[in-house]
Amino acid sequence: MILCPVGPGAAPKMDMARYWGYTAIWNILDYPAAVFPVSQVQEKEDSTRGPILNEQDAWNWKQCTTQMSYISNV
Amino acid sequence: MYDQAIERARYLDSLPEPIGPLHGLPLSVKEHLWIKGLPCNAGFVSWIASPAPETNNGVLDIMLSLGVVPFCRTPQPQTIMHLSCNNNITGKTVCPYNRTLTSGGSSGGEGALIAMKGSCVGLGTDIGGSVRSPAANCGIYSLRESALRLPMSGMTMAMPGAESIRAVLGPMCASARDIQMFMQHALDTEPWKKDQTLVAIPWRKPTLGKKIKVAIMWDDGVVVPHPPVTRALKEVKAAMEKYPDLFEISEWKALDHNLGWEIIAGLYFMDGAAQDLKAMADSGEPIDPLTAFIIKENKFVKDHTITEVWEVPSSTFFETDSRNINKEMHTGINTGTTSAATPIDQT
Repeated sequence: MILCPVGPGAAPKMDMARYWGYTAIWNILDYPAAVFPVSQVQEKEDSTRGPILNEQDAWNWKQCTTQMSYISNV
Repeated sequence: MYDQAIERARYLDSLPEPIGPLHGLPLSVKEHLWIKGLPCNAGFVSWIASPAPETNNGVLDIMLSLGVVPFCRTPQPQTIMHLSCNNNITGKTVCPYNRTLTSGGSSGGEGALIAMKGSCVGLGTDIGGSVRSPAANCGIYSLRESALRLPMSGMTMAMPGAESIRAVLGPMCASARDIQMFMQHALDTEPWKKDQTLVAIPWRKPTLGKKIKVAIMWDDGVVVPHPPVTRALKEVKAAMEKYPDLFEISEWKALDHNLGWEIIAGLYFMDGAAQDLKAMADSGEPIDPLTAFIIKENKFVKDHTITEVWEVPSSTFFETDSRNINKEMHTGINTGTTSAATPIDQT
């Protein structure tokens, strides 16, 4: 089985859920996918990462770095 | 709806024996799934006054035969096509852990309600993440099973006949055990005997090898997840590593997921979103920013002729990329890694 993210972040701000790739790929492939909770967002997270990949990646990363104070499930 | 629920609960209480394994279990139901005799707006203002359906949703009928008591409908977003949950009828559904955030969607009402322990099992639907996003955002469990395992009859949505990409109806639950129980009991009723569109596959227990092979996909090669998500994956990995006799862990490299998105984004609105746009125009309700995002700002949306429907690259994708991915899943050989997944059991 493949273990992967359900989405590109924890619960987004209103109107900011704009990246479907992590879930929609299993619809186009028609593979079954189960979701289970693991943890919640913590005050301090290790935010080291590789280079920004593209415009979408830059947009998504910005949603995170400006909103690290939120609490939600991952 | 509450009156009906109380009436049914009293009726079930009056019986000498349980009518099924889920006798008396309250069940929440996503807005667009039909409940006989009750109006169904599917998130559009102009559909509020639509005639009430005369039949139940197919899965609801199965659940009723097992003994459940449907007790509430839960919100969904305008068009259903948001990973969020705002409409112009019930307003915004928010994340119970932080009300400045979305519950996820489109089955966002189920996600929020179950997380708040207002329901223990609900019916959601998924064509791009709609039972999974709310489960992740709200911290509950859900399953998007393979298509054609459970009936898709009895629901209101735009383009109900569209087949290019199939939606599924899946359970949203408070535990993994509940998901197993839901699917086991639902498929034990052999729904394919009543609904000829379904595949006649019972709920099977997977035969696992000596070790469970788990390949971790840290990112999809397009968008790197936020740090809390990556940490969660690391936590699961660390938990599995404590049982080296049980798990064989490797890495999964995503193959061209951007292409997958380009194709599916074009399959969602093959009428150019004409029916969705009409449903909103009929009442003049405001178009939600995420509706604009997925319809108007989605460059893959266009109206197709029947000829064009059969020409879209879905077939190419399924016959090339998808088959390669299938092959990789079954052989355990994934580009860029030494070993990967165990052959998939469709349980």
